[in-house]
Amino acid sequence: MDYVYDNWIGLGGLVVTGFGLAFTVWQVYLARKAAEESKDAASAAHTASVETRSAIHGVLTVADLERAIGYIRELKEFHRDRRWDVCLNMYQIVRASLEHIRKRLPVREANRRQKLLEAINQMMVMENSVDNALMHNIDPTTPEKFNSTLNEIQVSLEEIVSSVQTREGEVST
Amino acid sequence: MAKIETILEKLHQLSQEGKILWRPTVDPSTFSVVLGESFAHVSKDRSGTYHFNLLNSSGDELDHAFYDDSTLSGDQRVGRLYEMARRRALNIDAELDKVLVELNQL
Repeated sequence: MDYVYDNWIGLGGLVVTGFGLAFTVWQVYLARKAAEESKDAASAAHTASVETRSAIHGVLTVADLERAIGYIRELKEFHRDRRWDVCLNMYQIVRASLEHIRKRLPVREANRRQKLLEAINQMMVMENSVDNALMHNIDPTTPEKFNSTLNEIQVSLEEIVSSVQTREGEVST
Repeated sequence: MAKIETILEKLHQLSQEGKILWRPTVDPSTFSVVLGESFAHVSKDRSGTYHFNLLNSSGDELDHAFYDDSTLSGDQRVGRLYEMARRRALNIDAELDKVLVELNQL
């Protein structure tokens, strides 16, 4: 009788120990999951804070640069097609876009800021040159030279895209 | 002396001393220099009139001056500055020196 009683106690102890073990494993799983969720939330909060800070402080984004590169590509097409009236509008758009980028470049990037100033300057000369030619009913004759200058500006912008992508990569890790 | 006249004088003097870096532009008759956040352009139009324009980085004209060779109207300094800027931007003196060396070797 005692033997049977002892067996029941032993079996009950085993069941309780099993439940205890399962409960501990479950608690460890929950704790780990909570830690991962908290890490994800912290990372999302960090990304959101970087994006908000970028918007507030006017930090340069890849989208700004790609938009400017798109305008330059369009302008080169307009030059090839000699659509000078459209070009006159595009010069102002490209200039504003370059100025937007220049103002958002960190001060330590003095060389790039200077290059952008020179690019803005070249855009002004293009605009004046086309404007004067149209006022005198003369076809502006140097679209090839214009496009070669635009290519140089595009290369400068593409270099900035790479550096911004590197910077964004460093921020997100 | 008006400020624009002082600027013309100083630009001419500094260009002569080689302290101003004039650059050619997409327009062969316009030369420019970046001055801080502003730009100075000197150009010669189809009628032979010289123009000097000071612009800010948004392209707004801050001031301008001109010189018309045929009527001798305007500021003569603009014409002088254009010739100086052209010589500097196209590195004309160095190119002429090279031609002289070539000629002396003949």
